[in-house]
This record gives sequence, C-alpha cells and structure tokens, in this order.
Amino acid sequence: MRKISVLLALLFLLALPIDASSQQAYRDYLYQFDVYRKDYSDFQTARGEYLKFQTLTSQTSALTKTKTMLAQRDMLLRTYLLLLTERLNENPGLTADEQNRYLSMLVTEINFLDRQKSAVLAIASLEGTTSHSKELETHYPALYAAMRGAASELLRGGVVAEVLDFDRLFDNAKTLGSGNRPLSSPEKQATIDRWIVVIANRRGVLEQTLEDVRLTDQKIFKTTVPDEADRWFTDSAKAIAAAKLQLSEVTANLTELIASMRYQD
Amino acid sequence: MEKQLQTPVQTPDQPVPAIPPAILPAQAGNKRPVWLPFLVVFIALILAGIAIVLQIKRALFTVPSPSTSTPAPTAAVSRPLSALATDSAFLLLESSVTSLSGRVSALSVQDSTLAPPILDLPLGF
Repeated sequence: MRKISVLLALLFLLALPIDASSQQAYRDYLYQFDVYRKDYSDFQTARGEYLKFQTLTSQTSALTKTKTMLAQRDMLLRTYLLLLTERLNENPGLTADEQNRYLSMLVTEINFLDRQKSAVLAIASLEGTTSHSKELETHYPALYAAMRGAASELLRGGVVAEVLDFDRLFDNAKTLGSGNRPLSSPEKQATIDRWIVVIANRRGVLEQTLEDVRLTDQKIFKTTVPDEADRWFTDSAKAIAAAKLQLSEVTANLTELIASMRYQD
Repeated sequence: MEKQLQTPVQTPDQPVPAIPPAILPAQAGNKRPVWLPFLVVFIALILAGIAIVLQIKRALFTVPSPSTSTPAPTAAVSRPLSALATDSAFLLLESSVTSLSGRVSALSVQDSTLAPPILDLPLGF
C-alpha cells in the first residue's frame, strides 16, 4: 500500500507541467513590479508630507520610505535583467557567441544593481538618498541600451530559429530532388530547377533583412541616449516584421516546390 | 360532232380587232430609268445592313438561358505520381514543411513581456 502511494505521488509530480525558467522569471518580475508600485506610492506620500510639513517625524518617515523604494527599484530592474538572461538562454536562434556576449552585458548590469542595493542600507540622510539615486540616473542610459538591445535580439532570434529550420528543409528538398532527376522528364527538371533558383534568391533577401536587424541592434547597445535606443528598437521591430513576411513567402515557395516534386508532370 | 374552234377568217372587209393598250406586251425598245437598278441594289444593301445589325445586337445583348440539362460529373484528372511520392523521406519532408508553415504563420514578432519597466528616477527632494 505504501509503495503504491509513493508511486502515485511520483506519477502526480511527473504529470505537473514543467515551467520554463523564463516563465518563472517573468512571474518573479511581475511580482517585484507590484511590490515596487506599492513602495513607490508610499514614497510619494512620505515625500509629499515631508516637503509640506518639514518635521523630524516626516523627515524620518521620508528617509525610511525612500530607502525602501530605492532598494526595491534595484530589485525590480534586477529581476527584469534576469528575465532577459533566461530568455537568451532559451533562444535557439542566437549563436553561442551572441548569447555569451549579451549575457555578459546583462551580468555586468546585474552586478551594478547588486552594489546599488547593498549601498542603500548605509544611507543616513535624504541628501544621501538623492546622491545615491543620481548614480543610477547617470548609469541608466547604458543600462537601458543593454535592455533594449537584448530584447530586440531576442525577437530577431525568434525569426532566425525558424529560418534555420527552413534551411534544413530546403537542403533536404534539393537532395531529394537531385536524387530523383534521372527519373524525371526534362520539363519537370526545369520546373524544379526554376523553383530552387527563386527560393534561393528570396532566401538571400531574407538573410540581408536579418543582417540589417542585427546591425541596428548593435547600434542600440552602443547608444547612450534612451530616445535613440527606442527609435532604433522600433526600426528593428519593423524589419523583423518584414523578415517574418519574407520567411512566410519563401516557405510557401518551398511548399510549391515539394508539390511539384510529388508528380511526374 | 366535233366542235371545232374556228379561227376568225380575216376578210378584207373585216378589220383586225384592236387590242386595248393596257394589255399590250412590252415592246422592244421601251426605255427604263438608268437609276432603277442602282436603286434596287441600294435598297437591298440597306436591308442587308439592317439585318446584320439586328443579328449582332441579338448576339450581344441576349442573355443565354440557363441550361436545363443535368450536368454530368466530369472525371477527375489524375496526375501520375512521381517515384518520390511514396518515399518515406519525402513524406516526412512534406509534413515538416507543413509544420514549419504553421509555425511561421503563428510567429509573433512583438513581445509585450520584454517591455522594460518605466521608472521615474529623480527623487524630487
């Protein structure tokens, strides 16, 4: 009876859905965002009371609430960066070199935020909170560029993953087609050859579009102006949408090629 | 007794009866108007033209009535399959491309979960 119970418990645990790490990271991020919103609201109230009454009590309360908010702000940004790292690890469209490079950038930023969060504990005055906050304000453009660049590369990687599969299937189709050539009429061979040329040309255009996205993303990583980062992010997003459309068309062409290979005429 | 037609015997005393001018046969030498044949041809051409125009109009503007006969089912044209059609590698390729096509259609190029938090950084003290 005991053995059956253990077996049933194990089967139950195996049947539970396994969350991807990024899904758990996203839930953590959403939770920290909720906590931050509450802490920020408390900070705004305490700041308002201090600026209005300028009493020692309001000053002490403002200091406490500000420090809590600053620590939570660092925690929020940290969990967002952790979400990006998990998504980078799971993205099959990025090369190992690209993944390592972006992960390295994000880890640098996570370490900065960890130092910031540790330093909040030592702040003893409202002037201290202001100068502490200014460190993040000064560093924020670089942090923002890393976040936007990583997000755009993740979107590009999503398309590249399907393009890699397309390339594999196209190669398979060409191999099967060339193996069947002796059994095909010259007209059929000519039709198949034409399709292969059309597909190869369109694949070339798609490759150029994806390369343009990659180059734009490198600009995002290097900028120190958040508005510029946003503008290039938008440009990348448009190009990624165009790449998806091109991939859809070339996949339809591959479907036509295979349909043509199915028949003798 | 036979009745015999007796032709009148012309005698010098009996003149030939005059035939009314109305039933006089056309005499050689009577002249028709020159323009009469041309008029006839012209009228004939006009009538022919009218008939052709009417025919064309009928052909252009007549809506054909729907066929009331039962259409017979046409035999499906079967295309000969190639040697690849039953090859397992080809069938796998076919299904893989169908699967890829579905994934590409469903591919989302926007991801709201990647939007960074919007923060108000300056403290305002």
